[in-house]
Amino acid sequence: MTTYIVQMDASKATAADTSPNLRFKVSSRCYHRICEGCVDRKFSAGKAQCPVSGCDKMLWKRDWKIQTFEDIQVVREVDLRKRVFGTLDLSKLGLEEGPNGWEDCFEDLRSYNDYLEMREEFAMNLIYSTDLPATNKKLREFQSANGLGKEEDGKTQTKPAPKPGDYADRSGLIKGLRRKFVPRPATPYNAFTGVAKDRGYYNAADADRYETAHDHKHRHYELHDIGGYSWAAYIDESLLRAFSGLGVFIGNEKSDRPDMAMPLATSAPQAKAVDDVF
Amino acid sequence: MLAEKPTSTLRRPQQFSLLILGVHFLFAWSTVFTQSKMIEDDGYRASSQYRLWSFTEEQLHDQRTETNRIASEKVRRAFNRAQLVASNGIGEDGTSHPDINTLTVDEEQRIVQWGCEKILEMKTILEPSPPSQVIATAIQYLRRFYLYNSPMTYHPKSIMVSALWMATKADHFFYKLDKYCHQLGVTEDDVKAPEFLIMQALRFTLEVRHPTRSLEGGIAEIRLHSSNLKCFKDVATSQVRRRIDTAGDKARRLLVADTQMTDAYFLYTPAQMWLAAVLTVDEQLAISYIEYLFDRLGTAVAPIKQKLRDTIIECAELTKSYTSPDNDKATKAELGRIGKKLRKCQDPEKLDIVEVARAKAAEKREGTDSDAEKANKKRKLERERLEKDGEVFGPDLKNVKSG
Repeated sequence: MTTYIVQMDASKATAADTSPNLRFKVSSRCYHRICEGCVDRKFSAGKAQCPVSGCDKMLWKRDWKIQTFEDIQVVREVDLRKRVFGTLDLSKLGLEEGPNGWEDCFEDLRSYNDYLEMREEFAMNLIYSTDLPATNKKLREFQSANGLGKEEDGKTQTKPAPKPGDYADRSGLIKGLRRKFVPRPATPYNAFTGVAKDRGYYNAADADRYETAHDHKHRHYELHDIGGYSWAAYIDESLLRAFSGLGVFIGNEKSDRPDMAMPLATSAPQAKAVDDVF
Repeated sequence: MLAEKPTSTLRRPQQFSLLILGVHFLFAWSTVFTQSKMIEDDGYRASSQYRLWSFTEEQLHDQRTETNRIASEKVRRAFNRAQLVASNGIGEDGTSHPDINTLTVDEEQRIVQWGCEKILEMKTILEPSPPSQVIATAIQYLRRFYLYNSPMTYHPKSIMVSALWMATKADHFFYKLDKYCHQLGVTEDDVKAPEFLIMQALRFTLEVRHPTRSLEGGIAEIRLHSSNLKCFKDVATSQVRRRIDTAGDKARRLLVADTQMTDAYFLYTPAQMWLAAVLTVDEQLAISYIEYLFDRLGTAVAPIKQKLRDTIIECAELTKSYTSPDNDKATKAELGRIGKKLRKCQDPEKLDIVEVARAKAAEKREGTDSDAEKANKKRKLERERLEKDGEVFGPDLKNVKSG
């Protein structure tokens, strides 16, 4: 009878009890660990049962992988997470990541957080083998509804063509998804947060055409430019001062009975009459 | 004087008020979408000058009357207290008020005016001479201060030095305090003592929007559009330039002196003031520019056209109403009389402003209560605190008996 060098606990796989030249491989389905030579011997011919006694998993040679982490449980967890995250991948639903990541694909932050939580819950279910049938069923349903998964016979499902107004996730597992993230056209940076730069009374754009008494001193004077002085800004400020308040009639606006035909402040605050502040 | 004649143009008979209100509502609905809303105007409405320091003539007059009334009462009470203390050493009983002849609103105004003129004079005394804008700011501080305070309480001569000192700081034209004091012949305490007083009276708003700065932009604008102005039809370019420059210089001189002496800052916006100044010095130029401006802007400003023209003419009239007292003997004599009167009705408790400020600071630092009262208050607070907390961690350690 052939004996297999089986090492169940990775922490014991030290040079002390195994030869340093011995390479181990881990099955990605049952996470049992046998040496590379045994894998070659047993699985070269094709599908075979896992050689660990008590394990009835049928494995191919490709199922045996080089161990990436010292702890087999970590290897297993990484694989399971890959599977869940790969299944619930939003890009497979035809969605695109926005500037803020996948959050942009959701109607609101709450939905996005729900999605993240669900994904994590599925992963933990698989890792700790809680609620396994239900979790797997949900994942399968999600795949088949969105045409992502493979049928039992290995044939890839055809993706149903999306209809307008269609929900991004047809299985209804991920809620609050937008059909597609439509990026807003990038607008140039505006320091005034959207306040109109255009003036009413004058045209600030042709600052170059204005002349003031200080022209000879300051206009196009490079030494001033170095300090950040801007002729256009100066002109603009002067003009703004010249016109700001031209249409403000204090006698009317501050009055108790303003003439409504004249322009008024939206909320004219009245100065409170205080006799002596001291 | 302006203060004498509150305008009644906006007043309407009481019995029609309801009807008018209704009409207003209808009118408001129909006009709210048509009236001009310029972004520059909204910017001005956000300024403290508009929010806190703009009034109708009526409001201005009412405020001054009220300030005068309160100050007069205060002065009478203070004299009463002083008299009682002098006679029998007992405090106030508040029954008999000695008959003190207090200042009227107009006389107060005249005294404030005198303060403003003195600030203008300080420009020539100080070395280096401060820019006109600093002087203008100081004058406006003084005017704003005396809107809520009376010269009977604080004499302008003790306020104006400090107001100018604050203006130099607010407008970034710095002096060293000792140099400043030396030049004006005052002590450092004289300058520093009223500072917080003035700050409070100014409602902590130090920005003053001056029409001189507006005039710069305005003249640039007139220059740019000079070829389109009616008054410059068939006039040589060199002449046009000279005329605009002259008008600008003259208007500037008007704005830094005459306009400062009037209530223009309270009643009008800087944009209206500079136009009014140009109107005063070169009427034809101002009128044709306003005409051109309205032609250019078209329907956006059509509803305010007439109103703006009236406002500017009003403002120009107000500036013209000021005459320098140096040219007028009668005014000088009048000022002397008011000065004498003020000496008799000056609030005796606020006479030494340095002492007042010192007392205030001391009060703030130490409180007015005696030691016994303070200890009482502290004990009471402590008790309340303990009751609120509930002795969650047991009684104080000193009360715990060992064993």
